[in-house]
Amino acid sequence: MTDGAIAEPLDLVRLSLDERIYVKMRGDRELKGRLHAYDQHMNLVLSDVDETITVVDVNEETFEERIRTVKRSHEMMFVRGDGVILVSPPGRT
Amino acid sequence: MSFFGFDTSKPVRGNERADAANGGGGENEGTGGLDGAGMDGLDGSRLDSLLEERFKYGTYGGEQSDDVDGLLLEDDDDLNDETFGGSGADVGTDFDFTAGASFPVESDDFFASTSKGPISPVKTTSGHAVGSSGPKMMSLEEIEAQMMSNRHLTQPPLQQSQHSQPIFNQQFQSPGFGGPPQFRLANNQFPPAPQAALSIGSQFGDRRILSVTEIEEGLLQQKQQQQHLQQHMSHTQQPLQVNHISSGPPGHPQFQQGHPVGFAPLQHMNPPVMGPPGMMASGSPPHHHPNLPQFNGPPMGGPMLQNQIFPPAQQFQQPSAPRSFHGSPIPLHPPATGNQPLSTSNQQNLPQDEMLRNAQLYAQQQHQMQMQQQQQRGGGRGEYGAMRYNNVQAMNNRKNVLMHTGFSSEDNPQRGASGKGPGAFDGGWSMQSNRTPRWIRYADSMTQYEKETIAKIQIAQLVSESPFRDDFYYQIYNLFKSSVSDVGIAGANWQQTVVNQGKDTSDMQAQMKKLIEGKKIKQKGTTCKYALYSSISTSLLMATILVTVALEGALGKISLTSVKNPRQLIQINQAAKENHSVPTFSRLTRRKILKSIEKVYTCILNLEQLKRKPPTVGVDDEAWNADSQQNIAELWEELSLNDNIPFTLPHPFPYFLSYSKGKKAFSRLVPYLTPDQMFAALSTLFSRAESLDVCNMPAGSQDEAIELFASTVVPTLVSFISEVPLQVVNAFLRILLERHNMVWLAKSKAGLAFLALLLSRAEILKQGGGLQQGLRPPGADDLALWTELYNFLFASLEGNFAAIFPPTPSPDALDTSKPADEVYIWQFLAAMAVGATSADHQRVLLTEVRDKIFETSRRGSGSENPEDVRALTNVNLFLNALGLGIDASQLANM
Repeated sequence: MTDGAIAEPLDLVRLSLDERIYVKMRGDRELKGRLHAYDQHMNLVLSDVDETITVVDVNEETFEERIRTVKRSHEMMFVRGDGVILVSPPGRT
Repeated sequence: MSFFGFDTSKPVRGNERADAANGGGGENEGTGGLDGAGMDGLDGSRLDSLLEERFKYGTYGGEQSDDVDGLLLEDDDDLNDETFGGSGADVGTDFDFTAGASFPVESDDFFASTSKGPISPVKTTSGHAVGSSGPKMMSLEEIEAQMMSNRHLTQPPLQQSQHSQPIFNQQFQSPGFGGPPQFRLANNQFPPAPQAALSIGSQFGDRRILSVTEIEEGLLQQKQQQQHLQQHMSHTQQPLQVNHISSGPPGHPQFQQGHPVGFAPLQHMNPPVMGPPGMMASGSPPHHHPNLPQFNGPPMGGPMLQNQIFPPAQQFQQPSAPRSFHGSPIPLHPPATGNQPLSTSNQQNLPQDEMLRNAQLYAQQQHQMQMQQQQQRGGGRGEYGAMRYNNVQAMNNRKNVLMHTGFSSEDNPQRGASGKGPGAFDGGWSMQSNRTPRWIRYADSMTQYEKETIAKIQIAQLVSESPFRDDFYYQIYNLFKSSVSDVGIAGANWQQTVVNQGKDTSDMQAQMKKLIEGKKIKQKGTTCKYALYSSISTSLLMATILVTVALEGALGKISLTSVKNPRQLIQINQAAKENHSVPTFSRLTRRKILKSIEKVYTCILNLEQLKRKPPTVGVDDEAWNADSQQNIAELWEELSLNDNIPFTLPHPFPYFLSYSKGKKAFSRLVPYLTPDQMFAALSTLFSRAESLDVCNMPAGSQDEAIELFASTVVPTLVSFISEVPLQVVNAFLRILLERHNMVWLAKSKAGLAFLALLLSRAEILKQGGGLQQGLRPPGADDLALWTELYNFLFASLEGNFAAIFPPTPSPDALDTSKPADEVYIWQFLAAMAVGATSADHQRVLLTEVRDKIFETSRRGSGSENPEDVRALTNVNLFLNALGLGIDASQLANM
């Protein structure tokens, strides 16, 4: 059985409709939520989203860098496409 | 010196005017003009004053611009035809100079030397009916066209030349020259390029703004023609003197050449200078003297005058312009500049002066014509006025609006009210209160046609043939809003509702199409591949229930972190059920299933779209049918229900339903399946139930998938099964029994649903319910088979009925079990009870579930909690089914 012809890469995103996905975004952000809609710009409509922002705190004196994450939750959100780096199934984190 | 600076009683001039007034055609005018002494009309001083007045109020274009002062609007023009008389009237020698200011006559010599005075007002123009702008313009244009085509010396008829002359004069009036150097023109040099630049075929009516390239071209032409003219000038002096242009062939060429150039210069003048379509169009109300508008103060005087005198030469700024003069070189004497040099060329210019005068007369006529035209068409704006605002209506509207809204400049003489700048500073309180609102200032910038055109374009981009396809969410949103009271939209079959409602909007779409002229707008790429099918049901959204626990009695939140129990920074979302409940096989990958689902959705969408737009009878029938058939075929193919896949291999169909969107799709695609196909589907479903995700969930789990399954798939099954005969029921039950372990099946809500469904249907059929549907009462064979199956089922479940109930949570934890969740269990039990074929069954049922019954009854009877009451009803349901006639409460008391 063949996998079926996938016309364009965006079709792969289509397969993930109504599924939970993992989105990596600019600004050291990551989203995990259920994909409800997308378009050619990669604008996304997600629900039940957990947003993770990774922040690097640099100590000015010691120049020591500390990484911390900030978490936020959104019940429903619209993501502008130009901030999206990648979209994938959640995988196990 | 007389008031006019010349003798107004000279017969020549009078003859001129008389001739002009006679309305003889071009010939007459030309003759008369040439006969005369030269320039009738206003003298230099008056010219100056008039020019001054003119430019006091702005440029040519500005006159007709949206200057709300309204001072320069044609309506307020005092120096119009009314003042100077209409066409063909005999003006006489009494001129009305009230409009003028002072008349500083500086150079007596000038006037003395010239036998001709200033050019008379337009009145002297005769044949050229000033009012008839149409034919005039056309003739001019024709002339111009001829001129243009005959660059080289050809001999146009006298008329043309005479026509051209005044035109030249008019043109030369445009100021726009440099300063002093201009009126130095000792040798009758004419204004430099700028004038000449207006050399592109002018149309009096066409006040287009000439571009830079056009100006350059004009300049080039000018230069060429200058050279030509210079050549001609040299040997046309004499003939001119004699022939008054009209007769002199050389003169004609001059004018010929001058003509096109003459036109052009004027137009070119407009942009750089002051929007002097002036001569052409923007009436210089003060004077119809072609030359007058030119003067932009003294500096302009010189060149202007010279231009007047040397109409053809002007264009080309030829120093040797004199040939065009046949009268006093500078009839319009620029007091400030004292153009002595001009006086030297009197002799030479004599014949040319006549030409000039004629030209000027004609120019005046033209001027008037254009003024009227300008009035009709609005004026230019600003310096680059040429035909920017051709909408006099707009102008008037604007004025009216301003007046009525209190923003008229007449009422608010402050500068701020002119809309051109801020008023007095008021501390910043009023940003724009002093100014005319922007919407007023820029109102009527577009004509109605323009607005409509743009609106059409925009609407055309929005209109789509299938709004429910391209703009699904907006349509649904509207439906929701409009039918908030309708619960139907949120029901299980909301898609159908939407489809049906969508049909009503076809009318509007038809109108839209007409609006955009029936063009078929193809929407490209704007369709978002949104999850049209995955509507965001509120239940789904609300599925996420955040359970927070707060210890009672504790103030605030308790910190649970410590050294040994650090705060969790990374949130591992185990609760987020990844769809690994769908196992992958080597040949049936998850991707493949998803792909199939998407294909199915495509078919569904197509079919629904087709359904929304039923074909017009006859015409589109075939295409429509073919389309829908094809979609259905694809749909069926994708479900692969026809394929006989051995049981050893996984079947994709149940995995279909393991995805939530698959479940939703199922309920939508069922309407397109034939009964046979449905039978196949259910058969597959029942036989492969072990692959269903909902069947594999731990007992009592409240996964949303189960809910979804129960809300979408099960009702579909119900609607189908409730119409099948007993044979089918038997078949189904048989499949279930053969393929699955009943105990296992009964552990899942879905499995119980299947069983309950079949049981109830069988009972209905047994009791004759099928008769209403046209089914024969079940035959004996069927009944026997059914009984057999039931017994088998019961035997499988015997001893395990109590296990059906989800395990009760430990008494320590909160009791989250709700009676509502157990309804289905009780329903199943009731169905079993009803279907019991022997008393034994019922007894066994009772026995096994007794504890549960008691527990629930006690719970329900004692309290008022609605939850508990519901529990009670559940039990009653079962008890009634048993036919014991005992109420749960009674049971509790037992």
